[in-house]
Amino acid sequence: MSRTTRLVGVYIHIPFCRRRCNYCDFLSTGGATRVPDEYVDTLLSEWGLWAETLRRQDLGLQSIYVGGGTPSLLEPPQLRRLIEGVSSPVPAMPDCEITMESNPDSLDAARIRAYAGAGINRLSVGVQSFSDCSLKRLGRLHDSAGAERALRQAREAGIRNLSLDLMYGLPGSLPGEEIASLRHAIELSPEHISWYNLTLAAGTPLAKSIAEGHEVMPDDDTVLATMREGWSLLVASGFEHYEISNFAHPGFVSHHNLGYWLFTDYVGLGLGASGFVSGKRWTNVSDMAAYLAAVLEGRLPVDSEECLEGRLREGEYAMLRMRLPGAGLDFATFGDLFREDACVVFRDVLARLMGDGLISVLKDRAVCTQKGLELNNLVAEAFI
Amino acid sequence: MNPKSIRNFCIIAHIDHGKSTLADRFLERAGFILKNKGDQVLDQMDLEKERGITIKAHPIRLTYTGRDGSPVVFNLIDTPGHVDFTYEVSRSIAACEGAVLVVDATQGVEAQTVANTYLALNHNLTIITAVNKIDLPNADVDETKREIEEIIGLDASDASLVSAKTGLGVDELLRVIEDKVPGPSGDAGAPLKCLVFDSHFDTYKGVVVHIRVFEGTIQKGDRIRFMATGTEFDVVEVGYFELTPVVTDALTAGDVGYFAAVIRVPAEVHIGDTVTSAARPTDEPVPGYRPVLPMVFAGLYPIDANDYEGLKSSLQRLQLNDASLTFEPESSGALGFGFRCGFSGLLHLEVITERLRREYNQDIIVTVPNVRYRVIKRNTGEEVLADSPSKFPPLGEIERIEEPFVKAEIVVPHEAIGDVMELTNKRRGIYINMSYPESRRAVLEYELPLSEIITDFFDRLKSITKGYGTLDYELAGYRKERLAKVDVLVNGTPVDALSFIAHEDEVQHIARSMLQRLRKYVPRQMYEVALQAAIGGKIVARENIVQLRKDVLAKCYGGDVTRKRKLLEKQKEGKKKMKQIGKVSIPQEAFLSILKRESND
Repeated sequence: MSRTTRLVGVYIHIPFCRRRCNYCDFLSTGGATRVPDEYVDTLLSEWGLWAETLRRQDLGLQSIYVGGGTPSLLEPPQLRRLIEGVSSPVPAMPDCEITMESNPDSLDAARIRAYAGAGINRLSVGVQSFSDCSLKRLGRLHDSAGAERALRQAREAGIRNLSLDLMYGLPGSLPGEEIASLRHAIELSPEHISWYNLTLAAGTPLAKSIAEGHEVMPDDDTVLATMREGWSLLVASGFEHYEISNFAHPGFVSHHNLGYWLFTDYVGLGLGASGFVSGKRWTNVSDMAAYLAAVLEGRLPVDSEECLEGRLREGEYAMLRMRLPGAGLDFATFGDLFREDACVVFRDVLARLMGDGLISVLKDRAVCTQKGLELNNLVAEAFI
Repeated sequence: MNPKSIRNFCIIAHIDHGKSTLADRFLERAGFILKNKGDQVLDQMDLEKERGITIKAHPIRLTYTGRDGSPVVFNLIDTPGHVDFTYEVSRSIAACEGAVLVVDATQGVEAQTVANTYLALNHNLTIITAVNKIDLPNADVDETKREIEEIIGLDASDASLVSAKTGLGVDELLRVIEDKVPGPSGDAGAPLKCLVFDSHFDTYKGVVVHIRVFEGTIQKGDRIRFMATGTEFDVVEVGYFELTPVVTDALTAGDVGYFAAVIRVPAEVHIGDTVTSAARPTDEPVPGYRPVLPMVFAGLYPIDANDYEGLKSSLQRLQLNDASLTFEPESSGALGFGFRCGFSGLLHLEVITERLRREYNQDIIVTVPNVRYRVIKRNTGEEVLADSPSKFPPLGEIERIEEPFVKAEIVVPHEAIGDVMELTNKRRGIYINMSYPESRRAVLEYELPLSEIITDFFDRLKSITKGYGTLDYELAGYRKERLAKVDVLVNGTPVDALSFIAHEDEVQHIARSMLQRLRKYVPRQMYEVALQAAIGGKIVARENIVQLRKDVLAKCYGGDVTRKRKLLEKQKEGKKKMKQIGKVSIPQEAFLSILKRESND
């Protein structure tokens, strides 16, 4: 690799699930038992459409992330084809991080081993909770024992970089239950934990149930108390709090996800996937027939795109960087990227946010205070 | 023009009962080609269409061939249709000899129609009844006729049956108008006597005065006098309206038309005033003139201080077509520089603010409206006319406060009398009299504080009487009342724009309900916000807005970024439109929410 190699990530969307969860508003179709080969072929053809553009640039593949939906509905040979296909013509860096999301109910020991054989070196397991009551309410197909089994099997299959997704702020949680879930997760010693506050998305069965009064969302103060307790617990357990909802043991941050917040280029493949290359962000169509037809005709299946330029681009960059508690808005990196001084561009914003106690301005960076993390939208809003 | 061949009439109809469509058919029969099908010609302003109210009357001259083959001229005079404009309606009606009452055969008689029909009967107009929409499958002509007879008390046996949409029966209706509406009387040689029933502003001609000539002749070069104001002008143009103005030599007794006389100040022309000749004036003006006084006052402030000049010029332009709008500069500690504006009523206020927003793109905050109080100062006995709480002297200097009362005439169906009396009692009404002009309706006379009328009194009356109640009122002088100026404090800072005047007995109740509403609209902030209401230095109500402690998006990955940024941009845009009171952002809606009382207040 030459010195000028630019790193790029690839996101592959698998919009199929056995059943849609009650809270989920991601693009996916429930009732699937497998991923059609036709879809896998189309993903590879879509990548082929990018190949020409990308080949001419000196790029190195930093990460591949197979997300969903439920990517563990992919048969291991399908996954192998995808990973091999994507790894050319852009060469994968030697330490290329290849993540697959999975649900415990579609995992078993043999399958995990086969995925690892297909190239996966990082497995993200959607556990969400270790409370069977909560899992049921969320419409998950697994129980806590199943989640534990899947994690054990992943270890046995040789997965050395294991991540867990967990949620808090769930309707109907008992006091202490969510922290107990988190404690349980920590005890299973994964390298990475994504700990999310459940976001109520419009149009989901859960939102309907809440609107009709069948379930009640916990109040902000309760959620805030849980959030603070959980963050302390994770940090005390040796995790680095590197993004608002993401925690990793040293050396195990998700490079792919970090790329989103550092403005690294990435190509999104698949239905409704988004990409971001050279300041241009696009989103693919969300209609399956339209997606398949476009790629078949040799067209990029882009639905919308926007070019980020000038102050908008700088603001969005800062907004994303301020999600990173430790790294924050690094002035030197900002200067390299935009050829401008962040302290000048954001002089008033920084002063105001500092005055409100939302950020600290250090010598080389601006970072959120605890309050700035808890009120991160106010910080983000100030920058854009 | 021979008065015998003139028919001056208006159309009375409920919203959507087909007035504008019928007018379009009349226009077509007179040979006008309407460009936009389905787009009614007479209603000009978007706002009117949307709210189903006609704000500006617009007369039009239609010429047909009469029964005897000679031309007959129909002057169709449009009438505005809301209680705030009752006076304007009465002036339009006073310009006519006849009225066509249009009732939708699928809806039957509606309340608003009843009120205007009585207004027309009071002016001795010949009423022609027409049942419209007879082409619709669910039209019930017999029932509609029965309702006209029972509810309004008109003989509907020979009502015209029409479909304004298809044109069915329209020709016959025109014949009925020709046959039944009397031609105007009046002597073209007598001293000039014209009724001003509307006006509009033209950049080149100045104020164009819409008139009905009752006596005499008006032509270019005449020196005329407005009888109420005594001002005189030289007529430079006379004419009448077709789809556009048509210049003519003269208008004579019986005619409807306009004149222009280089009148640059719209406030010089008063609806209802009488125009006469300066050289040979008439003895008596047309009866019924009421000067239009601003009754409701509110502060209008630009959200962005840089828009002050823009707001000023927008108000000036609105005033050109609306002499009842007044404004003068004022300043507020909370809102900066703005204008104290006077309106004829609350609807007028709403119409003006909506037009400022839509037609002039002005982002404005409207403060709590109030009436003009009379404050008598202690010791000196000095009298202060305060159309804004900020003009009130300090509490210690006030001897007494007087507020304007109106004499109100409320016409209600028999069965609603009890409920209406309860409403008027709640609104501090003083009972004067009750009469039964006929068995089904009662006329209640009350003296009521104007301030109680301008909020939602009319809406409440309509709802209690299922729409059949009507209200007419005129100022009846000032009375001493136990009133107090209430200040609203946000985190200890008084927001002068939120100050209001209330009766002492109601202060607690109103203040609490106001703070509660305010609380709903002020978003949680980074700090706890205290909302307080105070009289002098004494706190009478308090509400807290707990601080915002958590506002963070859990997930923000590749596909989420644009959406999240746009969401935040929108929020930021919204906050820009808020007013900063100290460190607290108050959205416009918070100010607006105070405008209307809740129905149980």
